[in-house]
Amino acid sequence: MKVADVFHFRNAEIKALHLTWIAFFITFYVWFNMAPLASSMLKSVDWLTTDDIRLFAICNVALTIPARIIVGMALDRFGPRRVFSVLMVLMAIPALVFAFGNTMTQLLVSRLVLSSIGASFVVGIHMTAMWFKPKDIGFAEGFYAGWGNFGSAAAAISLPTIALHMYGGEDGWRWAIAQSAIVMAAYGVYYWFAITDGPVGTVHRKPRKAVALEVSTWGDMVKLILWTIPLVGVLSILVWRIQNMGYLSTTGAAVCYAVIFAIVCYQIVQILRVNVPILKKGVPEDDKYPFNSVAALNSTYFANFGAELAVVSMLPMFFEETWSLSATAAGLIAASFAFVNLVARPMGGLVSDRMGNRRFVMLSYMFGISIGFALMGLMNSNWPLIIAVAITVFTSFFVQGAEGATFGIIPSIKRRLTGQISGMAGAYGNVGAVVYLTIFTFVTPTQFFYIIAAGAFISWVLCVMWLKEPESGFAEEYQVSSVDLQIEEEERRRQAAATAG
Amino acid sequence: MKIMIAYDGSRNARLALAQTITMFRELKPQIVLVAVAENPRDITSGNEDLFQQEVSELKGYLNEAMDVCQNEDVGAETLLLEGDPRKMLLYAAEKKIHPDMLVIARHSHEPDGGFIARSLTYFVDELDYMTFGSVSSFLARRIQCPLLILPSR
Repeated sequence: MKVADVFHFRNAEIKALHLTWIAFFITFYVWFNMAPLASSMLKSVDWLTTDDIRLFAICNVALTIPARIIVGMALDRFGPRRVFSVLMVLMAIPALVFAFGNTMTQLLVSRLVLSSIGASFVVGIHMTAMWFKPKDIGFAEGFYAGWGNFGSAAAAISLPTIALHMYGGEDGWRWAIAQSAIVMAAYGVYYWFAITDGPVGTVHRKPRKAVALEVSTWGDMVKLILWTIPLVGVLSILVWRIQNMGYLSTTGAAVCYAVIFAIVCYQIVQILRVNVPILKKGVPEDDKYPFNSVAALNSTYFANFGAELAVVSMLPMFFEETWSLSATAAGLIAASFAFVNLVARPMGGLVSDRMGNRRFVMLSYMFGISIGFALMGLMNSNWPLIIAVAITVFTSFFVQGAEGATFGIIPSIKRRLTGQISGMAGAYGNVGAVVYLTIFTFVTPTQFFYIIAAGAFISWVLCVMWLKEPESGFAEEYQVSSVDLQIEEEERRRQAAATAG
Repeated sequence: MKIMIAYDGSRNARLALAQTITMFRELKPQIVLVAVAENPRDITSGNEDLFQQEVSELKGYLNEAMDVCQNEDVGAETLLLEGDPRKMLLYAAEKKIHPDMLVIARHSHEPDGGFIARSLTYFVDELDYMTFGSVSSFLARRIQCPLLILPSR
């Protein structure tokens, strides 16, 4: 498949790709419909404070991880078409509640529920995987991810204009958010009828039920447990923050902590149940894979996608306040960060495939992210705006390229377990977003950029230590032996005789 | 004379096999057909089926090629590897087969479509050449035996 093939709309699989990335695009648009309108909200709702807005930003990425787990189960049962449609229609409800919410509780809870929409990535990836041939899948998934993530840029570009100029007035932002929700629900209905799960005639095979990732050594199992704890455990940070700000009683917080603790324990028990029997039997040498590589990729996704979600949530306001721009202009300029997605993310995957050395590509990208954010940390109102935009674009080029490169390596770690490994890494993107946005409630934007740069640098160090260049195929060779050929030859003769007779 | 052919069952590969037999028949060549099953770069769990499908397809192609060689009275054997085609072909040549010559068919990238499609394709191809992306340029720089690249028509 050539890049130019994406214009052949008449091909069924290309049509499916376009329908699916647009669905993902819309979900991303709704997911990040608050950031560009934050200043309008502050102006029109008199009891809202900047701290509240920052809290909403954390809530906005909080429940994505549990939602991914639930969506993963639903996918196995119902297939991506139904799940995607239902997700879009259902998630329009909290979006509308948020749009017309008048109390802190309404806004907080609806934003928290709405964060489940981030699980749409998983659904679309499965849909894309059903439509494309092995040779094209890498490109198709990169294209889907990049163009879908662009939705957050589209939201930053268009929403302030819609809110201030189309609707205008006090409640302009409410109507703008409501409009995005209604469009999403409508597209969800359309998607149900417009697409099928894979080409007509595909048998939807149920994957093997996997409750936890398999590992190769006892040491790796300990590492896996340690890396699993933050997946849900990170939500305790959010609970602590909400309680800290006085929106949750001590009893309520205790209940939340107990639930989180129970889920984490359950996950650990599952890991033990899956792995202890395997490890007792002993894993054959050629079936082993290094868990360290998985850990390194978790950290890269934490530091690149986590950073992207966090930065997209705060950048419009940062530009607005630092250079005292209008909401519309700030939205446009902040969108330059996510705008690069159109090219950078698919290109990250492409570069990773094309260079002889994936590890080197990953390391270069992570290093670029640290430099980019360090430069963003230097920015202040004395800088010409155009330079600031250039640095923003430079940084995001590395951030999104690194996302592509991360998902470029994942399939070559252990083919059998790719789905689970990518699920874990993907979830770490959200862990990163929750951690970064929580930190953001305590620091200034400048300090925040430095912290993200440090995060990317730590991830770079982890990659240097842990990430191994995947060596595919050296251990497993398919020898087509002469015996095989003989058997097939006899089979052919027998068939020929049968047709002749 | 041992000749290794990188064979993926495509039209170009079939042409390359035919051409090789035509050119070197007099030297009584021993042909080794090497196919590489590439990992689908899919990040869902649905890729195992696809991969097995690809492996069985390649096996089928190799068997067809064996039949061709048998009909032409040329000695042949096959080898199926898994992984990155560029690296695996290099590995097979250097570590396992030690051929006297390696034959590969260059893939044709004839851009079609409008101006945007063409420029996109050119850009990606250029990236391929810059980064040793294509199999032929990767091997041309690294392989330690005579290499014959057959252009496609």
